[in-house]
Amino acid sequence: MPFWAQVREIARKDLVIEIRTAEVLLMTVPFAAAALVLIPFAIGTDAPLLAELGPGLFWIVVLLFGVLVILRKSAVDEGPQQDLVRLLGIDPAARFTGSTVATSLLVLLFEVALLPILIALYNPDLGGWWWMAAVLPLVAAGLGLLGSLTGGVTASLGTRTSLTPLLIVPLALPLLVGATQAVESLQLGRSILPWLVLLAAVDLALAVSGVLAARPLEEVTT
Amino acid sequence: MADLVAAQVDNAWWYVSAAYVIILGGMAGFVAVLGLRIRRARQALDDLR
Amino acid sequence: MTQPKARWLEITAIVVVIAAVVRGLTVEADVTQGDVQRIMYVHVPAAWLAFLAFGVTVVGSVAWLRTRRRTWDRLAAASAEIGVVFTGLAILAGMIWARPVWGQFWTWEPRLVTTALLFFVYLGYLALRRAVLDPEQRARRAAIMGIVAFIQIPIVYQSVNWWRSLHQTSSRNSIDGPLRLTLWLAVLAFTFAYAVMLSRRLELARLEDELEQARLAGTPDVAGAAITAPTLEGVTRG
Repeated sequence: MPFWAQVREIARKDLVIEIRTAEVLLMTVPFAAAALVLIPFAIGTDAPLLAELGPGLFWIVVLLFGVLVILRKSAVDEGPQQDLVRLLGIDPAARFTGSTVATSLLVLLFEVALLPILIALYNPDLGGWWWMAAVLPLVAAGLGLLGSLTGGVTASLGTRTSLTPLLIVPLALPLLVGATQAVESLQLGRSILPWLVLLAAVDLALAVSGVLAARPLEEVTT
Repeated sequence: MADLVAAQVDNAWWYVSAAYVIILGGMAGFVAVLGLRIRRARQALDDLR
Repeated sequence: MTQPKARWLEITAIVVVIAAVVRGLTVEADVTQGDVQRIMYVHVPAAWLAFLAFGVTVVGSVAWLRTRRRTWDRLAAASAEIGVVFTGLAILAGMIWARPVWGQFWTWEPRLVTTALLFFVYLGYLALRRAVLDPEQRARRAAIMGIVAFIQIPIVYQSVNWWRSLHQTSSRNSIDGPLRLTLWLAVLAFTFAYAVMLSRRLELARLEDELEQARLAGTPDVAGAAITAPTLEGVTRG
């Protein structure tokens, strides 16, 4: 099977499992939405303040709660699944890419589902709409890549659910900076291009490390 | 960096000694702990043999 | 039973560190900051050592992936542990320095933020090592994580830098003459201290590996354990 066909099949498999369990849509999204409802109780319900903090809160919620998307059940291959995939001769790099694509799509879904809730609750100044078409996928891809990388490293460990977030969050700072500063630049009437370049550079660096690490990582899960 | 608040602080030496004690103490403490762990590992190895 | 070479290294390190500390405390005070500036002579070398230590971890990780020799993995692990200690110390001393000079313990300065994140990244690295029991798997996963983290660090630093550029500019005061000499002496002293720590930590890692193997080899058969004859020479197995 050619490389990209393998990628498509792996991604499809992850997404089908996700559709069956609906973990992201019916569990993680409501959880994050509940957090958005709770936050004003801690920082005050002053409308201008919430509008000002809104975009930043959105990104921090996406980053922290997005880790739950990365940790979801369909991202984990059990032993027999792994054996089968290996016996089929799937390229480790294709497996990495496939599961990254699936995770990124789900993070993107998570972002898109959360955005209307944020707008309804906080009424933030987003400085326009069009930028989202670029920023949301770039952040989703970055989180998906980080998730596949760290997920590969922590696979089958008992403390996976605690260890993976610790590995992801410090390295996700450039994604947070790129996303929040893009919005802020728009509000200030500046170009968001540098921030898009930053996000793309992060994604590229992660993608290269991920593909290169895929083969040595494959040996891990024996 | 934030602007210099006080060019010359009165209790400068208090801060200096705190920083030196923390860093040098931390280093010495780490070396000591390593020594202790090495001794314990040797002990355990001897017990095994 | 320290080897003579290691003993000499330790004595040299202690002498140089004492010399650096004495010099740091007695050299003329900085013109603008006064005596508080003396904190720099321990803060900067500690931070430098943290970076050196993490650099050595990457070298160990890459070398392990290429050669698969245990020694390289031990080097990576030992250096990462020392790096975390120095990062923590550098941050603490930096906060004590920042309090009188900037009026607050913390500012969102790129080097500061990056150092703090490094601390967490390598805490995660060490946690990962603790979580994996099989030595081969531990080495492999840790090596990959170590390399990925290292690649990300410059991007983290640069992103904070750009983030700051939107908010405020950073200023840096330079030092010269005897003060700079003092700083270099301190850096040298701390590098010696690092060498001592590394050699001790490597010794410990070697012993722990040996212990692990001895335990594996010495594990009695589970079923037969109850009826094993008493151990020779009155030594009981731990």
